[in-house]
Amino acid sequence: MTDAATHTLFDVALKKVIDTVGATGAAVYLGDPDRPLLRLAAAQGLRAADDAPWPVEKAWGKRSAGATAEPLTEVENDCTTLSVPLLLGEDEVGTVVVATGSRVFSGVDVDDLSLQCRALARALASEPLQALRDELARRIPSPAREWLEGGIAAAARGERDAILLAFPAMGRRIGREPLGSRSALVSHDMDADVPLRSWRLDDAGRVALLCAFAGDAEALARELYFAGDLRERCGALRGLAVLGRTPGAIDAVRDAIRSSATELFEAALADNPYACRFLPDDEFRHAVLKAAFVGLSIERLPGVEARADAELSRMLLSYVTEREVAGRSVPPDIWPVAALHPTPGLVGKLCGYLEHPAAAHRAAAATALGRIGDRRADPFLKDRLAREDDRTVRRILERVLS
Amino acid sequence: MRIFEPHAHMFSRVTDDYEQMALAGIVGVLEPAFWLGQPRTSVGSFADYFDAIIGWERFRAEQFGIRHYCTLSLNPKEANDDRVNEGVLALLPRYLEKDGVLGVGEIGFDDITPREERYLAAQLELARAHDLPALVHTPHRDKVRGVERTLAIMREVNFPPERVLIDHNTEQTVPLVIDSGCTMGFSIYPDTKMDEPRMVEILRQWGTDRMVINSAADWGKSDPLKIPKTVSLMRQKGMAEHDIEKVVWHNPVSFFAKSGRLDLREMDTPVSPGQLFEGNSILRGPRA
Repeated sequence: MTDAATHTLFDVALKKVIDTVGATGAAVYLGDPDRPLLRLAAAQGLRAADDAPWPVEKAWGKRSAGATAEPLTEVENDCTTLSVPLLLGEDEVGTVVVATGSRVFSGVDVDDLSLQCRALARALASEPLQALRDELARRIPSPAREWLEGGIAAAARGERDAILLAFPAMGRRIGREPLGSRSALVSHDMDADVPLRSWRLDDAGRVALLCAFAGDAEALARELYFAGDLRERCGALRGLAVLGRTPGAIDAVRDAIRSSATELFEAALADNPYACRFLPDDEFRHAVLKAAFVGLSIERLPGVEARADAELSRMLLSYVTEREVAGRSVPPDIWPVAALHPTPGLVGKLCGYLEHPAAAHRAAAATALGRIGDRRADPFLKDRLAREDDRTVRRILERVLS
Repeated sequence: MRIFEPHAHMFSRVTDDYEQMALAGIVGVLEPAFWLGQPRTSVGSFADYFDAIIGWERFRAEQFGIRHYCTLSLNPKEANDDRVNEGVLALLPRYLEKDGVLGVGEIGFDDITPREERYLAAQLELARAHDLPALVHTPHRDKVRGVERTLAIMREVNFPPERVLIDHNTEQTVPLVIDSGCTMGFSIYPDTKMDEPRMVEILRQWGTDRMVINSAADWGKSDPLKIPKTVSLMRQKGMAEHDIEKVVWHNPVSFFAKSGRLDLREMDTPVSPGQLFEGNSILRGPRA
């Protein structure tokens, strides 16, 4: 992106932020790549009534790194600024500071700002190949980096055979440890991001080769899947997550979903928009159910909420019943999805789960009840709120009741 | 004590075996490709078998914290079967480049036929081309003659003996192999091959240099805990700890490390998909 385009992007984003909450001014701060600092990138309007200038840099302590919307609830009442993190995946790439004067904000405003800042972080993101290079450059030593750069250059020249040779060797060349990134890859022509949270080093290296390939990368990923070992197959599936644009390689996803190797199943579905975009409805429902069954959070299937329907709710709740009959626990992330198409008795069951000893169940039940919007649940929500001591659950309960 | 099991056909074993092996200190296992008891009728069956031992079997092992490696080959028995032998040889180059493939094997002799000789030589050439060590099976019948022919063919194709493990040795074959430079394997079996007391005696007589032991556990009557059981007897008979560790860890690991594909750090810190990473299950991903 050119400097001029970036500045236009900041101007438009800041104007929208200021309009959303009626702020006096706002500024974008971006993380310094080398030091734990945030640097002023753009500003509009006044920071405070006394016309004090926006500081050019500010400390980026441990508290703000990794913070999500958490601090915002505290700012609402007494401070003169809101700090909204610029989140790419779960990685804070910067902060938008909003000068608010003494205005009080609603949770809706805060949610709106969070979404706007996510969109801005997304717009600023590098292309996947560059993003993967940057992630790997921080984590693999020089000889491995040079070997990978050689492969990327060969791929960019369209040398298929170089990729076929490098794909099986990737793990022993650059490592197999978790990548350890909180970030996400953004393909600007797609509306779904690909979080890197469960990728390993070799996944990142393999996908970098596919992204660089001057040819039909989707067909190549499919071919590499069927010729690959377990790790290569995971890499090919993660490649499809980033660059799959047609259903041409969906048979690789189907093969992986049938597998009992959870590692492969996870790579096919979790954080993988390709599978979720191209699986037909009936196969998608069964994939969601199998995810719940093998202990993979169904929240991690992109588009699960958009594709949820009455049949999926029926299947999930039937699974819940089966677990309960056997005296077993139920994964909490089922509730918000099932609530999109509630079945008879679900509201009562969820009111019961509001009193579950695990905060994850209370949070999921409260979110689900918020989606159903049945006023009969209000007394139970209020009753819980009066005794709730978990901050996240409290915030959800307050929002559902407002 | 850490144990590396350099020969077990885990494809044919149940998860209880993995569990017991892990409890007994086995942190790495090498699965040589062999025959399945029942002859295969097409090359596709071999492709599926190879895919299983570089994929599914590795996943199964890691669930128990055991690293799984393999050697791949056309085995000596099926080298005689013209329905599959040429096709499998053509399939191997693609698979030998896979991660976790630490050698070519089991190759060698079963009935000591001309076909077996041809495919042994051809696969030693493959090992050379892919820069891999070779794991050589020796026959159940006419074992001494089989070992002699193996050593002769290695010399004919000029394959370096320090990159060969000759397996299933007995008291009769040790004198033939001991000065060859090859690593020597002994398969401790419930009834046939080698047992624990004889093994300890061989080690006392011949020393521990280039000696490795294994269970060769497969679909027949066999015991995947034979290495730890032999270790117990070694201790009872007063063998020094460092000698025991040499036989069950250093020797097999340093032999297969000649592939350049054995990551020792990885075996010391096993991470399986079900294990926790930074306090979170990888499956569920990081949670707030």
